[in-house]
Amino acid sequence: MRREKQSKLDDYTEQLEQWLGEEQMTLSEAQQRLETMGCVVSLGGLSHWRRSRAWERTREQLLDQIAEGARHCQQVEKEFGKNPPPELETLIKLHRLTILQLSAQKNADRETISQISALMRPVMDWARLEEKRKDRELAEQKYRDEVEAQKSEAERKDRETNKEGGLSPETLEKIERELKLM
Amino acid sequence: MKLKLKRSILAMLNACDGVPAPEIALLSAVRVHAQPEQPSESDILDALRDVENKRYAAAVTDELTNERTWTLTSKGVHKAREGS
Repeated sequence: MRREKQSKLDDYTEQLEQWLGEEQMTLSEAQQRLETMGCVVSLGGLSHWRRSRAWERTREQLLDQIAEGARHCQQVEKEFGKNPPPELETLIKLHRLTILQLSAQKNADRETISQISALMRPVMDWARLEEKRKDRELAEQKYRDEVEAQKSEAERKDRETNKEGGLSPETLEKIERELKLM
Repeated sequence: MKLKLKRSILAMLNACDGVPAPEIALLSAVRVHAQPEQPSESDILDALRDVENKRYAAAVTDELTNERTWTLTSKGVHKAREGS
């Protein structure tokens, strides 16, 4: 994967950025200035270089933002390593803080705010699922308790039946033996 | 354009510095990085497959959320530094 080909203007990047940026020079003025420095370039070429440079800066900013975001994620993960993950309440507080901070900014971006709120939806869905899981576990426990109680009751009744006049297996065996002898 | 997209993918993942990048975030970041070109999602996915086939990046899918995340392999880190 080779890099894009170099432009002869790349050697003058610093000067050009100063001329076209801080000094607000026109392209023709910059072209003339370059000519005095021994670099002949067309106006179209200079314009193309300026556009490419603007895109390059956008790309650099994007990479910086991503790197910063990644560092932030690493920091959060590191903190979670030390302490347990935040409870739902903490997340809600964090969400509220972020929304308020964004709203307090000049030219608050409505789209960003709604995206941050959208990020909370999976958290709330998770909380609902957790509640359902607790309900299900409770119902399962209740069912197990009922089955256990029914079993105990049946065993108790069996024991009582045996006590109340029923023949014990030993007695029954004894009677059978005696009957055979007769 | 594919070459440029692959370079963008490597640059993006390299900027993540080992933090797994969700595929959705990666796709949108590459789309911005590739400007003024306007690649489609399938163009980027195609480039991403190439990057994966060359073992520059690896993906992991979360079974619970079905979310795919990407990280550079050691080979990919080397390649990304070479291109920066």
